[in-house]
Amino acid sequence: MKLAYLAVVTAMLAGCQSAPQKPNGTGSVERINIESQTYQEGMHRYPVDAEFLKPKLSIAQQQLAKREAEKERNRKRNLEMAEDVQLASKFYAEKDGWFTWVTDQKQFIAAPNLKSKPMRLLMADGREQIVKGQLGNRQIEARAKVIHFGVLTDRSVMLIIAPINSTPGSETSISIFNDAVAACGTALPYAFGDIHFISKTTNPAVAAKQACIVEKTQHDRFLRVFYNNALSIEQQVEGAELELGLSS
Amino acid sequence: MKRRDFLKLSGGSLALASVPTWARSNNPNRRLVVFFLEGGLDGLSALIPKAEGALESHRESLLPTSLLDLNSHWALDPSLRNTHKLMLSQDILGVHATNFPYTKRSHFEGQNFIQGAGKAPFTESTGWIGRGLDLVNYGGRAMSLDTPLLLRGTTSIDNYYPAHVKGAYNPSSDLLKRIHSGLSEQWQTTNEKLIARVTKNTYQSNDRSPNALAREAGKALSQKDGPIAAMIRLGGYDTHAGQGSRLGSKLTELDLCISSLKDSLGEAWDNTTFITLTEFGRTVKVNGSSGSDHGYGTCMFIGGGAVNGGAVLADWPGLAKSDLFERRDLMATLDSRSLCAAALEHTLGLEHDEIAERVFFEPNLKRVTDRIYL
Amino acid sequence: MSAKSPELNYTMRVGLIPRLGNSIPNDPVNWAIDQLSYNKPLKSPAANRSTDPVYEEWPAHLDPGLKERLINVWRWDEARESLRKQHANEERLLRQKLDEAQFKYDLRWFDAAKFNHYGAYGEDPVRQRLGHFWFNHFTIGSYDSFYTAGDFYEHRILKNLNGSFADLLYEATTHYSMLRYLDNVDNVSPNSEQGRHRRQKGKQVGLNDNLAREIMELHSCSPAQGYTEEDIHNAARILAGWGDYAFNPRWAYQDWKSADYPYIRKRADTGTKVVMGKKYGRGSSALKEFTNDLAALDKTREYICHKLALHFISDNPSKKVTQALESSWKNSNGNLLAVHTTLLELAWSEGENKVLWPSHWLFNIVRAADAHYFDSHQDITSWQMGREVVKPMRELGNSFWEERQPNGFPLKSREWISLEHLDRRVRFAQSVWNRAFVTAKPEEIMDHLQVPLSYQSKVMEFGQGHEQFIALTVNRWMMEV
Repeated sequence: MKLAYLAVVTAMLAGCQSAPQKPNGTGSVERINIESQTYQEGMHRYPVDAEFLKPKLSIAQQQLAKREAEKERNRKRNLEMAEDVQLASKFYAEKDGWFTWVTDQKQFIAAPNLKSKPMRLLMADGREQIVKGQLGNRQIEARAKVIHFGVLTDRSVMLIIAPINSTPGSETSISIFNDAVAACGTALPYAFGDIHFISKTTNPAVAAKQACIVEKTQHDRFLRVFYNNALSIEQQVEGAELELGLSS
Repeated sequence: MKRRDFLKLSGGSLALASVPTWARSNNPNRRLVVFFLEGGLDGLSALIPKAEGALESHRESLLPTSLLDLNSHWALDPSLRNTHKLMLSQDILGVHATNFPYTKRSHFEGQNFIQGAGKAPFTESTGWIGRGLDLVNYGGRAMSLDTPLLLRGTTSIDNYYPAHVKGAYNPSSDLLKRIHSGLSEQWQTTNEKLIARVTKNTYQSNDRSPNALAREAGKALSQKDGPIAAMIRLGGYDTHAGQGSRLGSKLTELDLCISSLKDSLGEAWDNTTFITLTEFGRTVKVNGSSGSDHGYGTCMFIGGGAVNGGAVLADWPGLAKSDLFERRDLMATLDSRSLCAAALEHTLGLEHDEIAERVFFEPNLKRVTDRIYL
Repeated sequence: MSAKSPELNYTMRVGLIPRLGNSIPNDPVNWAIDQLSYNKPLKSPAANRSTDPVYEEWPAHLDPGLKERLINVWRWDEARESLRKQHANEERLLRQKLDEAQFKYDLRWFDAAKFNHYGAYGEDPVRQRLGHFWFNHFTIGSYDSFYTAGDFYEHRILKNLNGSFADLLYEATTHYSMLRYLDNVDNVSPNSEQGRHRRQKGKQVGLNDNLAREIMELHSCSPAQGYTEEDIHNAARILAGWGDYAFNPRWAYQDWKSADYPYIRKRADTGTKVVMGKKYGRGSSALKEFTNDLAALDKTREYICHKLALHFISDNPSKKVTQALESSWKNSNGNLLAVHTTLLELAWSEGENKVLWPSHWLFNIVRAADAHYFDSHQDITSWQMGREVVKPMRELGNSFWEERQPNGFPLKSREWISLEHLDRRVRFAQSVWNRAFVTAKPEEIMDHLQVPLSYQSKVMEFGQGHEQFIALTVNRWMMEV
């Protein structure tokens, strides 16, 4: 079979290179006589390696394939989003595109604090303040930051607690928190060793990640108390009048 | 690697692709685009026979540091990224060791011969595409100021090349009609085309880069009543010195042109064939100024939706000194006119024999259409 | 439209229309032949943007001689290097500084402007047209070859129009622009002192046969001669050593005989060479011997006479024409004054239809309207402004100051007929009318051009001035002879 094929190709090629023709003009062209070159093998087709090769598609098929791929991507995205919303709804209320944390027990008892001041951030707005006081049964002294991310698309508000004087208890809480972040991931930047909390977001994935962290850290009493009172701390950093009573 | 070993490796890899029905349909709206690479493309640098041991000893300094692999024998220059993708998706076929039967290494004779395709350079006043179009009475378009020989031979040829003239506006059809009687006959034919264009108001962009021209050609060809064939010239392939970076940027330009053409053709890509032509290949050995001199055999790219791509087609002659033409150039083992005839046959729906006889004046020209198209 | 007068037609065939205000010659053949010995310097407006221009000679400092230009090539190379280091991270500033430096050392735009002014104002249009023919025959066209292109046109082409073809061939071949354009600056013999030295250091070295090939194929005998690759190879050996990238007065090794004839012994081939059966020895004199031999070939005579006839007389020159030119060549031993004189005589009686080059059409309409369309040297105050000088001719596909193919502009009429070419004619007629301070009325121009009254009234039917001007210039008798 293959031999026959080669014979055909060879015959074809021999004819391809026709003998020199007498020029009929004033110029002359030297046509080389390829027949004197004896290439027995003939013309070969060297296909692209199968591992690289992609199916040949018409433009309509290519466009269809593109649309299908897009559809698949959207389907996946929608599925993920539905899952995120479901997880987030354990802790957040959804209204007008915002996922807002629902609990504030207003148990944060703070000493009179320094005034908050604006942070210099490139891509976001933020204020920070030293907070000193009692949260649950633990004294805290920390740098609290509230950062508003995003302008046009996904927006989020994040509270960060950076401990100033850490105790063995707070170190345990931080390491539990870090493990949870490693497991759940986070969509927003924060420094390792800090504790963060998303109070509001337009992005269900951000809320879902926070919800995941919260679920995984419920067994730490301090963190549980922190989530349940974080809105109050945030309000204080943001400069709002505090309704909670200050301890002496 | 010896040539024979090189061939052995490929012995069993004959692939028979099944033919999609859409590529078989007899479509009257087929199109042909020629990228004419002026100056003589160094085929060994564009489509690289990487398995050739002799390659390094001849021209190590001309080899790119990275390659776009196709298979164990062939690779593309890294500048040809889109071409590579289209080869992998089977839309482009590389053909190697090919040329028109012209061996005298002169740009002017070569360019003339490859466009005129007569018995010798300067014997024809029409080109092979022009003659083909004339047989079926179709039109073509040159993407340049003048009308290249390749497209001459049919009266329905026009040009596209945006003007940049200070202190002048687009001429109105009224004005053109009024100057008509003052023109000689040869200009009147041209004026009629200009009037037709002005009336349609098809001016679109004033970008004259080859890439923009490829895009405009694609747009024009995708129209139902658009031209059947177009030619785009790309200069600068005469790389006698400092070939590496110069050729790289030229190949990038060609690569962009190919992808722009495909994009702007839209679905017409399925009915379009593009081919690259160049007057000759270049010397196998690097010259004294890190370049290469005029040679003979070179490579050619044929692409389009109906092309049986995804492969390199060659009767590879080898690169050992004794395999070279006049012991210096890549031998051409395949007459490029057969490839051009295949493109005409597919595009215009003419019989191969008629094309061989009336377009190429070569009744014995062999038919390779089935090797090129699905 | 009736035919224009044979006298006017003749001025357009071999020359350019006299500027408005000068009469069409009664005895055009002698008018033309007289111009062959014209030797007055060009006088033209020093600035374009004026309705009342003062005609002055082109300033001498813009033609400083080849050596000075080549030292400037070196200075510019040095300046470029140091500016690139100095402003490595300031792209815009660097661009500006580079433009300023190049403007100081590179005269190409001034040369292009002078070329345009020769066409628009020259009193020697026949000499200019012959100059264009030969400038095109000895095409130069790479960016680098334009450093000295003005010198090439002025001192190698125009200056040698009346001598022997052999001398013109030698003068054109040895000029820097040609040596650089066809890569002979890279042509180093492997057996030369420098070749051996470089090879020992493991560097690339070898012959470059580009000029050797074209000197035979394009400049003299053409492939009809039937020379071989071996002949080209040996011609390249004769040419090895001619030319370098720049003239650095500090380089001791740069043992040029002179900047005008840059021969570097250390790169030259030391053996004897055989081209088409003739032996050539070592040394710089071999090239003159070689070009003399090329000039003496029958095929050279045939090829050049055919080209002259093709450009000036007919797209299909008759045997009568080519034989007359060839016998003039034979009888005068290839003296161009004699050949050109014969050509000018034949053009009167034997001329057939030709489409004029668009550059000649543009010169003609500018001259016929006494328009001031082309920038002059005072208009070029920066590198950027300089670029504008070449744009009109580039737009017409006929710029001598642009990169192009080594076989130059095509000579046959049909190469210049296309939809876009027609579009450009209409636009440039408009552009000249709108931008060139045309004060002449269409009637005056028509009188000058002896347009028949019947067509005059037709032109006047075009309402606006610029439309009348288009009607007047985009027609068979301005575009063709």
